[in-house]
Amino acid sequence: MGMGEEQSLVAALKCRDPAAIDALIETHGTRLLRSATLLCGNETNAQDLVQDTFVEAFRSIHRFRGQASLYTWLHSILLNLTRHYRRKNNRLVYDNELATQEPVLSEEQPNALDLESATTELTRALRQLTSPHREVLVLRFYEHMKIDEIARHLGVSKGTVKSRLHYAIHEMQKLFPKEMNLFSVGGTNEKI
Amino acid sequence: MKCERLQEILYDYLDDTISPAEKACAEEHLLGCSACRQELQREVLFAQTLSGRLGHAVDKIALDPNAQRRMVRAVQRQVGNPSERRSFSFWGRLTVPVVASGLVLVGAIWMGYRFFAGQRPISNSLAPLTTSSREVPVHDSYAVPTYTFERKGGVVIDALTDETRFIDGALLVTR
Repeated sequence: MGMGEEQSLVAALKCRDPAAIDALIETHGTRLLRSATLLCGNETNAQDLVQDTFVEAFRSIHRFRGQASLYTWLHSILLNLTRHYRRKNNRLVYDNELATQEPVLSEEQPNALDLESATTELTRALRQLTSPHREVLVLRFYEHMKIDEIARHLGVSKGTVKSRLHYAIHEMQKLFPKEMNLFSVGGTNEKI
Repeated sequence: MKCERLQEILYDYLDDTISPAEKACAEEHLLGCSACRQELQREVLFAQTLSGRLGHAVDKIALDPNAQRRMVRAVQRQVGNPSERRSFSFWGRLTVPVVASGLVLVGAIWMGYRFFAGQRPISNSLAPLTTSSREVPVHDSYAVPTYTFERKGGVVIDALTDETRFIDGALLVTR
């Protein structure tokens, strides 16, 4: 969505145009849902969070000043709701408990190094991180935000973001099976 | 530039958010330091791999039309008519303090009235009392019982007698 289209959409939302609700959800729904799934580890909960995000966004659209993109603004609402939801809802604790269990691999894939199993391992490892570390990883490597953007998004300093990122990567290395080590891609001992 | 400094600004270098001068220093250092080049390559590869795998983890997830319609309905239902909602919300916020202040004010007026009215009746209410009250003479009588026992030989005789007494007085009757 271009800047002009986004501005038109925001203007329509501020005018409470019902059609703008469809357009907002159509444009940003899937991307937000994917990010929410990574943040909370469960697609069902993620759908609830995304729905609440849109409700809250529509309710407070008059506060949107256009300093960040509409998606970034929506994502900051999602992030706040995710934190609130995590504090209030035991279901996410259940998810975390599930995440700590060993994955059940079928006999056909004892050395499953394919993309699917690596992805499964990755999401399992991601769920075991603490929320602040999972947030920076998702923002950095899924949302492709720069360090200063993450700092603004989370309301923390750049140093804190770097520190969390460093720790999160270190944890991922420990949690991720060695044969699937993310750092092994391309070989860490190669010299350039 | 030293290796420690490059490690500090590695993310900023990758994000291209450092000054051109510092970027030039970093690149000069990278040319001569294989360890830092390796670290940089590690970061780039890690970012590419993790980004790819995170993307792959959720790329099959999509907001289906049913969920989308449900969300639209939820927004419409919960937000309602925005102008009314804003209006309601505005008055809603004012209602509680206004009503509370009103109740306090009414309570204060009532208490004040009671206080001053409570002072006045002593002088004011006595006036009608004195004008509408009068003394009524009262003449009354009552009996005082006396129970006596008397032994006569081997027999005890009991007797109940009463004495009538009379009193005279006056009662203050008010209307």
